[in-house]
Amino acid sequence: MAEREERRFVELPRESVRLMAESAGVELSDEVAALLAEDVCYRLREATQNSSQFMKHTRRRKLTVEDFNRALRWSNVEAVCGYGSQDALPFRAIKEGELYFQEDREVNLVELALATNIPKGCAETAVRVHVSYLDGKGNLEPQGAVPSAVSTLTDDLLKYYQHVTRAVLGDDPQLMKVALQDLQSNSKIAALLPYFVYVVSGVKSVSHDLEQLNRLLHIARSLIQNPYLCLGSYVRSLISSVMYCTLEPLAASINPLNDHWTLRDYAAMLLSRIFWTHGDLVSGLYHQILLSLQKVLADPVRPLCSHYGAVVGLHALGWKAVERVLYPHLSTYWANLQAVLDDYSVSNAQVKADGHKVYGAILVAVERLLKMKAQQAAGQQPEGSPRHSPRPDPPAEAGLGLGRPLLQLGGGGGPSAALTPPALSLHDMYRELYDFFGDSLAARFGTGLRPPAPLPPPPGTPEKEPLAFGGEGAARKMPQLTASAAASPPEEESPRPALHRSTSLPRARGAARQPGHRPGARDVFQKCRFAPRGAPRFSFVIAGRQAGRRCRGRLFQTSFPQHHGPGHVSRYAQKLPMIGRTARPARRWARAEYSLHLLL
Amino acid sequence: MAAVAEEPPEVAAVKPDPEAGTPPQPPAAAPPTAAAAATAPAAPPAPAAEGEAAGNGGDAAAAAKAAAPGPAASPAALDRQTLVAVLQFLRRSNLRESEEILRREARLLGDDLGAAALSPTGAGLLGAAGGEGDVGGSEALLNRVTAAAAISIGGSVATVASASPGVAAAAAVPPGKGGGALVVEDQPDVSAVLSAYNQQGDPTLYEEYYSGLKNFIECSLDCHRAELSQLFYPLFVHMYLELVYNQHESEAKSFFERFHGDQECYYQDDLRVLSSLTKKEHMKGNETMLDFRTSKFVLRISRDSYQLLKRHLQEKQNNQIWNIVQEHLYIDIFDGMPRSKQQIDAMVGSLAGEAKREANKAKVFFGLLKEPEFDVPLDDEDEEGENEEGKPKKKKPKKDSVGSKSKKQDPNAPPQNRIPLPELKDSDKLDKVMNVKEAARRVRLGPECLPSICFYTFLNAYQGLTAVDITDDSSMIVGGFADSTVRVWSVTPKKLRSVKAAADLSLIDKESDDVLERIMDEKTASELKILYGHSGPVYGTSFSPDRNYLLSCSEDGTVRLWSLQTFTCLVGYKGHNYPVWDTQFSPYGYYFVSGGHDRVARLWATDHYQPLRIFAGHLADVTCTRFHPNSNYIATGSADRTVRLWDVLNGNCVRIFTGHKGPIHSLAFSPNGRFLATGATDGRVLLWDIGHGLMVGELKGHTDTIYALRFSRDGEILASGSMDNTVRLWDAVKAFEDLETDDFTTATGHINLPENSQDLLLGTYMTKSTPVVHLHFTRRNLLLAAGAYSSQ
Repeated sequence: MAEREERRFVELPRESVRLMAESAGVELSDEVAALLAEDVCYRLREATQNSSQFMKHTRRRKLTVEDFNRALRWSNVEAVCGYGSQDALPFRAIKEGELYFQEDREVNLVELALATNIPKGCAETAVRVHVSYLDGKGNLEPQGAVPSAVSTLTDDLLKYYQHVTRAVLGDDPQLMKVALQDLQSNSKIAALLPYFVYVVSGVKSVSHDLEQLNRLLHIARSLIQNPYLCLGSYVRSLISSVMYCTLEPLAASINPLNDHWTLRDYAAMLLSRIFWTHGDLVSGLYHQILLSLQKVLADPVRPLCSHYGAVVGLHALGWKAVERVLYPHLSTYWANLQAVLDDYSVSNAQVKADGHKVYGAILVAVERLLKMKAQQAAGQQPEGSPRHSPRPDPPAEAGLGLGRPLLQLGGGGGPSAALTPPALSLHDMYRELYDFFGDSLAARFGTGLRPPAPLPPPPGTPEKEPLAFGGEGAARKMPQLTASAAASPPEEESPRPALHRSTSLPRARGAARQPGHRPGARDVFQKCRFAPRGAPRFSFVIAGRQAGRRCRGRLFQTSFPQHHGPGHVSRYAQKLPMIGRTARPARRWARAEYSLHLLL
Repeated sequence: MAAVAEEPPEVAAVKPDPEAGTPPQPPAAAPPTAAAAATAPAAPPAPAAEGEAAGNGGDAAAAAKAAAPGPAASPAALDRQTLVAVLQFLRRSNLRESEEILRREARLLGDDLGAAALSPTGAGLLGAAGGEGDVGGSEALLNRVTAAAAISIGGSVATVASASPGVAAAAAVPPGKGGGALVVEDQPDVSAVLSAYNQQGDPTLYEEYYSGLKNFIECSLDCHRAELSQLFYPLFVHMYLELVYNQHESEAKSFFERFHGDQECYYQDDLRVLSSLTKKEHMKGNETMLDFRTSKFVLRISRDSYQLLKRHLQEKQNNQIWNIVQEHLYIDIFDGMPRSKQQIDAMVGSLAGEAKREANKAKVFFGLLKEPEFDVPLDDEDEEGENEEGKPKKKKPKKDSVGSKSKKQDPNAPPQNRIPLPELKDSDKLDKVMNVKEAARRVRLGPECLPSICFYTFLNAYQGLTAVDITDDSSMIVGGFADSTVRVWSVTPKKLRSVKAAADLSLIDKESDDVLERIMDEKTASELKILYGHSGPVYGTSFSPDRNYLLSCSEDGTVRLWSLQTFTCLVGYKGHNYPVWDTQFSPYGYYFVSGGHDRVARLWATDHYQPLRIFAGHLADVTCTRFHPNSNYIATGSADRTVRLWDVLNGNCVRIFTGHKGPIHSLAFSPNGRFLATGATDGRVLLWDIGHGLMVGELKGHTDTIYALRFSRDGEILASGSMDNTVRLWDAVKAFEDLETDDFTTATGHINLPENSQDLLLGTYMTKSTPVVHLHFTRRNLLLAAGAYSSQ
């Protein structure tokens, strides 16, 4: 009770007072600082209370900075300048240390000053009348509908809006690029934001046209990246559009020649980007997104492409999302997927191809989950924030931290020592996942952390024979590709611009190249794999049944029973990692021959 | 000496009202504490007395305490007080000799007097070491006390005074300051007010006292418990403030913690303010605190309950609480049955308790003024209009109705010339005729026939719509905005035009028939006119009845009068100096009222730059103001959660309505002038019978502040608009139908409200996302609502 009383109001710590005094060149004793702090808090409360009357008389529910300033002015205190914006300034959190700050974007004054066409900030105030209730009954007309205000936009803005939408949705790719670029950097289009958001929400009506969908997503991306726009409540609308592209069985996905996967990947990437940069504008957003993704994933009636979208969406939202939603759901989902994958009928070929897509996506997601788990378990990283926020780690941090735990493992002396504390949960998780994915999981881990040098043959055990054999054929390709897969999740998830990607990647690789840590990492998963002697055997039967019998390949071999012989194996091995690269940016693998279904 | 002799009449004024009577001897109780506070800072300049004071400190305080509560001791205490005050004064004036003489004289009266005389010093040394800050204020108080003392000694001290010429001179001074003291009494000085808390009780006992009383009340009979429970809140507040004032911070905190949960929920806002108050220094500028101190909290308690309380307190020797009851509370005792909890709850909630009964006894002329008879040419015009529309048949009955209506003299109406009203101009008469014609086509509203609602939505009002008004004939709408602009729109096809410039006007043929048309400048025609002039948000707007003027009031402390002929500002009325929250024209024009943050409402006439009346009495901001339809009264709603009715003629407050639990933001008189509807932040509409001064209804349903209230033209329907984005219609006829206005209710003010909100609610109408800021019934009873669309 007393505790609560103490916290009835926000209190200013005396340290802050002392810091402020120091910055003004005054030394304060503890007592004075405490007294001052208390007085300042009281004055703040008083001013806040006084300011509420201005809010009430302005017929608002929200207290603004203006109200507060008025209260200050009337009590003869200097007003606080520079925060007069009507919109709330969102606080951003810094994870290290519980620190929140307001983003203060730099304004390019030169650009502002030299701008030639300065559009008016907002539309003219107008009064519109309509009969709401006739004889006390019925609503005749929706009141205050936003689009009706379009006509009240200034001509300049209207023109801009028309030009941009035309350019983006038109035929000229060059023009589109310019328009998107401008949309990304124009500081004066705040008034148009609702309209652009509205345009983006048009995805629902063009679901047959991949190209259009793509372009609309590009608009969304530009809007997100525009530093002058405060998305505010429009975040919701944008998210719903993007989620639509990620999750819905689009009309465009009926034709197998349409590469709607790329679109989904891109949309998932956008989803994570919106969330990371603007998620703080809408409370509870994270849970809502997770919930809808989970709903899709749990719905067996939905087509596989929807499931695929849900998986890449989760993957894009970070490994914690994967852990929370995908992982617990995997066992039930697996049964369905397995049924699809095991059906060899010709009519099922298309569905099965889709199934492989989903399989690949899940594989990538859980691999990353495992990796992050392993890192976390290694104890090197102060995992997440201490306050257990519902938001997972920012991916950027994941990217930076990629090499660190490995280093620790290597430097930590005995690999067993590093492993022992987290062994339990990680171990269980790994074992369970291994049950699903079999060797493909293990191999990808193994090679992913390997330098792109030829594989030294692992210590021979009978169980590992097939792996070694399969790896032999792919020896040239595998390490490189899986290495990139290991590095790719952070780069693709990261909302940061390409610049960052180029820096994070080499770092991760560089870390991976360092000698000494490799055996450690290797040991983690080897131990996991082989310590429980019974499990691998069992999972091998499930996952690697076909492979063991026919082609001595790995799990994926099961999908292509028509191929025989080592030649096919190697050919398949070339394609294999493609599954793992689903989250890669769209343009990279827009080339059709890389798509899996063409194999068939 | 003569001056002294003249003073007694003023003494009565200084002393608390003797006929308030019930607290046995308020004068006796008040001075000791006041004097104690006053002397505290004065102690240092009197080193001679200090040793003695320190020695006597302990029992001095005890003596002072003992003297305070006992009603029997009052004459002696009074004498002592006066002596103390005179001694103080002498000491301050460095009249040692006289002081000595007086003291010697005083000793003759009794030994204990010496101790009593010094007790303030002792108390000062003990308790108010930190009191240095308010030396200046205490001086004023000291003057007051000294003056009062000198005066009240009157003849008795005269002998003392004559004994020494020095004292005579000294005594001659205070009367001069007596006048000043009266002013101080009217506008209490801040620190003087505060220092009244400077009485020393054991801070650790406060909780005990309070819980003791609590136990007593909770164990008392049911019928008394509800009444006595009213004591909790004021006692709690005053005890808390006393603790804070005497710098027992931790005790104050634990006291608050322990008992704030017991208080009624409608005091939450005040409690929040209180809880932030933990330092003596903070009390100075705190308005809520001052409100508490400057006004006595009024409780209405039956005689039985009061006797019970009094006996208990005397038995328990609970002096601390008894002091508070005497000094800070006004207990309005009535004979008869104690009230029930519901009855009490309906009436309490305001900042200073309920209204005293006698506050609502004055006669109010709530009837309507007689409408002027229309003379023949106007009738012709009327007829002409009818002919134009080709319905001459209707003329007869309507004329009758007009005649009968205007001939009937309301017995409750004020004399026609009670306050001077402007002469009707020809254009006004024309308008009245129009009004009558429209009224003939008015829809008869009722539960079966609800009005249609038109919504005026302000789009793109990013700058914040703060006030709206619509002309009586619904031809123009004005919006006041937070960006200091006032925008006037024409809502008819007729555009707004201003008059031509002077040079152009001189060219016009003044004899022509359409001269009124010719003077308008066609070039300026537009749908919207923006009026710039204010330098703060515009909180209130009002059209004059003749539509030639517009009033706006703003945060910048001014009320501005705009011409709707030229669309320029004519006058800026300065007087409030603080934000002006509301303003309204009288229904007859010429006068207007404004109310603001300075806690007063002012009555102005458009041709005077100074206010004609200042209505002072509210304990917090005056948030809304409305004229009675007969223009003789003004209703004001305030943040102190009371509504007051003021007489324009003499500026008296004739009604105080308590019962709202939040600041009042809307008022509406019924068209017949008998009733008043008020809406507040608590989301309730209360209905009041003005003649009897009683609450007659409570309309619950809104979930947020009610910013707009309006009766339909014939008073059948009450419309309320709120922040919760709804307009609600209430059956006013039914609400006022069978009122319990028997003599008993009127005499006692005990009301029994029926729980019938749901029966009275005729409809709830949602907007999409638009808080309703203004409501208006057109002359044909179409309901117009207005507000700004808010996207969130």
